[in-house]
Amino acid sequence: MIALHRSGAVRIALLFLGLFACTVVAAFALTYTLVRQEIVDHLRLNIVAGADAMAARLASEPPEEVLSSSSRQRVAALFDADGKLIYGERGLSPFVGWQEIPADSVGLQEEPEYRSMTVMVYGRRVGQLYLSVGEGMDIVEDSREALTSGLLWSLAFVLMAGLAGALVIAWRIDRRLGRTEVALNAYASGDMTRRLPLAGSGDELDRVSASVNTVLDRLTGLIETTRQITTDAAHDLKTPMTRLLHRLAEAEGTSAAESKMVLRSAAAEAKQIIATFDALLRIAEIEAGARRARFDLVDLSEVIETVADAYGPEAEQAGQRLETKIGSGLLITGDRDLLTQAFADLVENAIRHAGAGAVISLMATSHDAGVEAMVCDTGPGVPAADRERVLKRFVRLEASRSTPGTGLGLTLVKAIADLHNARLELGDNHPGLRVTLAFPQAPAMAKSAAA
Amino acid sequence: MKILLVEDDLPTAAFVEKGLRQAGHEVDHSGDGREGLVLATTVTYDAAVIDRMLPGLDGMALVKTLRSAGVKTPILFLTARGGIDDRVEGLEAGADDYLGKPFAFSELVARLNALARRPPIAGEATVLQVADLVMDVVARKVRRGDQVIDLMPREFKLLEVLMRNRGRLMTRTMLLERVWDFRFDPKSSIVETHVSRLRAKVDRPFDVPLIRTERGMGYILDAPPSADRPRKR
Repeated sequence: MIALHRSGAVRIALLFLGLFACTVVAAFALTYTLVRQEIVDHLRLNIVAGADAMAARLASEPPEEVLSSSSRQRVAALFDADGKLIYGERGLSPFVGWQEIPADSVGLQEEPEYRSMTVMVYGRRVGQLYLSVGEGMDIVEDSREALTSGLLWSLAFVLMAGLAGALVIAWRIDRRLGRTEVALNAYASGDMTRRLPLAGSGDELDRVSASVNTVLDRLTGLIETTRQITTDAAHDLKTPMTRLLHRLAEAEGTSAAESKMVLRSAAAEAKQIIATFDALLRIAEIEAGARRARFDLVDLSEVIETVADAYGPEAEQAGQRLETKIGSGLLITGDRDLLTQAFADLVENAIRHAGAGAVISLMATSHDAGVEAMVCDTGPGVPAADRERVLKRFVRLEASRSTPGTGLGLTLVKAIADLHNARLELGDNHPGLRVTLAFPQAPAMAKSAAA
Repeated sequence: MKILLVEDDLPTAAFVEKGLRQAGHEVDHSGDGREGLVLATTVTYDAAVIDRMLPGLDGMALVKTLRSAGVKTPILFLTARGGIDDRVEGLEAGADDYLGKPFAFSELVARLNALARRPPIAGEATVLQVADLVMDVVARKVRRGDQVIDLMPREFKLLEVLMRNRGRLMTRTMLLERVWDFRFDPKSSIVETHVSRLRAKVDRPFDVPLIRTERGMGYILDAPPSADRPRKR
C-alpha cells in the first residue's frame, strides 16, 4: 500500500488540484460580476421603457388604468408634486433615479418565489408628478443560483477526477520506483546481474533507468577488472617475490663474494617487481582518463620517426631490419609522451618476438577518417584465437614465457589507444603480426593545416 | 654542495642523507613541509630535494610557495612512480627536475649535480670543446683533431648532451629524456646501443677515449686527467 502522505506524486497532484480550484472560483466570481451587470442593465432598460410608456399614457388615461395594468412582477406608484401618493403601491416613495428595496416592503413577498427578492425601482417625473416603477430582480437571483450550482458541480467533479488521477499516477510511479528500488537493493547486496526494469515507453523514468543501467554495467566491469587485476597481480608478483626470498635466504652462509653476486641478482629481481608495479600503476592512471585534460596537437609522424630512430640500431643488432613509411605532418590530438611509449612498446615487442632476419615496418598514413599507424613484423605472429587475449593484463603466450617482460606491454598500448579513442587491432601480416592503431581525425587539424 | 632534503619517509631520508654526506655534501633534512619552507626561505642552498607527499604542507604547494616567494634554488621533485601527472604538475609548479620513487642513488646524485650547475640558458655555448673534440652546434659539424666526424642527427644530439655536461655522470634515463624525449623506461638497451655507435665514430679511431662508462649508472664524457686540458671557454 502506498504511504499517501509521503508520495511526491500525490502531494504535487493535491497542490495542483488546490490551485485549480482557486482558479475556478476566481473565474466564477468574475463571470458572475459580468453576467449580473449585463442582466441588471437589461432590467433597467426594461423598467425605463415601462415607466416611459406609463408616463405617456398618463397624459390621456387615468392613473388607475395605467398603473394597474402593470405585470405581476411589476409595481408602480404615482405621487403629486408634494410627494403624496395619488395612486399605486404604498411601499414606494417619490424620487428621481434608481433604488433597490426589499420585496417585502412592496408586497411582492406574498408570492413564494419572491421571498428573498430585491426590487429595482426607477423614479422619474411626469410633469409636476412623480412616477416610481419597480421590478423584481428575480432574474438576477436566478442566474446567480444557476451559476453557483454549476460551479459547485464542476468543482466537485474536477476534485474527484483530479484526486483519482493523482492516486493512479502515484500508484503507478510508486510501483515502478518500487521495482527500481528492489533491483538496486538486489545489486547492492551482491547480485551484479540485476538491472533496472524498463517500461519501454521511453519516458523520463525509462531514460533515467537506462542511464542507471549503463552506470551499473560500467561499475560491474570495473569491479570485475579490479578483481581480476588483484588476483592476477597477486599471482604474477608472488612468483618473483618467492624467488627473491629464496635468493636472499641463499645469500646467508655463503662467502662474501658469492653473497655479493646473489644480492645483485636479488636486486635485479626486485627491479623487475617494481617494473611490474610501475606498469600496473601507469595503466591504472591512463585508464582513469585524467590525462585527456592535457591533450594537445601531436605530430604523430615525428613521434614514430623518433621511435624508429631510437630502435633502428637495436633491431640491427638483433639481425632484423627496421623500415619506415611514414607520411609527414600527421597530426592527432593526444599525449606525446604516452604515444611515444605506445609505439616504443610495439616496436620492442616486434624486436623481441619476431626473431632474426625479420623485417619490422613502421607505417603511418592519413585518410578521411583519421590517421592510421601500423607496426608490422614478419615473425611468427599471434594466432587469431589469442589476439584478443594478449591485450589483457599479464597474459603472455606460452612461447614467450621465458623472455623477460611484465606481460603488461600490450595492455598498456591498449590503455593508451583507448585514452585516444583509437582503435587497436591485431592482425595477420602474412606472415607475422600487424598491429594497427587508427586514430580519429584531430578536430583542430584544419586550423593547423591552414597555419 | 649544501642540499635541503624535505622527505617524511625516514628510511628514504636517512638513505639519501647518508649517501649525500658520504659524497661530501652538506645536508639539512626536514620531515615536514612547513619546516621545509622555513628552512628553504631562510638558508641559502645549492639545491633542494622535495617529496611530493608531505605532512604539514604538501610538496606541490611547497614548491609553488617557494617560487612565488622568489626562491630560485634548483628543486628536484620526488614523485611516486607511474605518477605521470604528478611529474607534469611538479614541473609546472616550478620544480626544475623530477625523479620517480624508488630511485637509484646514483640517479639522484647525477640529477642534483646537473641541476646545481645548470648554466644560465641565455649563455649556452654554440661551440663545445672537450680535449681535441670540437662541436659546432650551429653549423652541426664535429671534428676531432684534424679529422671531421660524420654523425647521424641523433648521434649528434647525444654527443651534444654529453659534451654540454662534460665531466658529469649522465644516467640512462637522463639521456633518454634529453636525447629522445622518452619519459618512460624502455626494456631494450637503446641508450647502450646508441652510445656504442657514437663511440665507434668518436673514440675508437683515436688513441684517447673520451666517453667513459660508469657501470650500471651511465656515461661521462670528459678529457682524460692525464691529457692537457684545453683552455676553458
